[in-house]
Amino acid sequence: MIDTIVILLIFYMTFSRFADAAKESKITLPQAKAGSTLDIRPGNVVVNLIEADTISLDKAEYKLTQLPGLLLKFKETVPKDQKVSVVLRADKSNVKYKDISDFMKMCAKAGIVDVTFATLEGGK
Amino acid sequence: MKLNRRHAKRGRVEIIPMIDTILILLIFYMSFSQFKVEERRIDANLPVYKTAAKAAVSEELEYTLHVKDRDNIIVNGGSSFDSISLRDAMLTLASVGQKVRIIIEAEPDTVYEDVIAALDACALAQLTKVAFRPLAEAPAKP
Repeated sequence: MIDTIVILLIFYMTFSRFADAAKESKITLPQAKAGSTLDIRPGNVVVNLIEADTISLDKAEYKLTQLPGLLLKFKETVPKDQKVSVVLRADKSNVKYKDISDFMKMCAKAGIVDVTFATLEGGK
Repeated sequence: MKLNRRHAKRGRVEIIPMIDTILILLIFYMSFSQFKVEERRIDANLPVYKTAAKAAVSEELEYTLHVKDRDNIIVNGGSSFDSISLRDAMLTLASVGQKVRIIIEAEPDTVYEDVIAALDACALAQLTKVAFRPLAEAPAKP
């Protein structure tokens, strides 16, 4: 019995992980068939769009209107030759197109046009 | 005089507290851990409405997808598709071999999931030149 418990413990300790700091667990991502594996590279900033007007970056919540300022701050930390892009993680049903539209406008204000949409594998 | 010999105590691993500790650790890991869910990416450019207007005069074909919902996606103001038939239409479009630019727009209250369904149809057909048309600003009240 002890052996079994120890093996189970080692299994869980090895193969499990806790939520990523940058990823908001409240968000249910939409499913898509296309797309490649999402890897967060240097120059990528993960923005979680929880609902209209509420975003989170690194577990801290902000208003959407604060996004251009945050992105500009992030751009300052990235070397000039490196491409800056935003990885959008938005909730599949709480977020509407008007929120996405506002989000795009905020990214444009910060001079960022490359946006990656995070999805989960699946879909019809 | 008789001297008492001290017997050195043999070290012993306490099994019962060890089992308790291991069980508690096991319950902790089983309860609070999650297995890795692979996330995927679909890239797009935002908001390139002006660029799209320039493209219209070039040799690129421009298609506008107006997403009302997952089952009602209107292409160039004409035919309506659902997300599955749109996928086939986009594959046919991609097979023509001409450069294609897709502009996605939607109703203000269209859910994000349905917008992604349209984007997914384009990505599956390897149509990577996709842009989003942001909603026009509401006129200010007098």
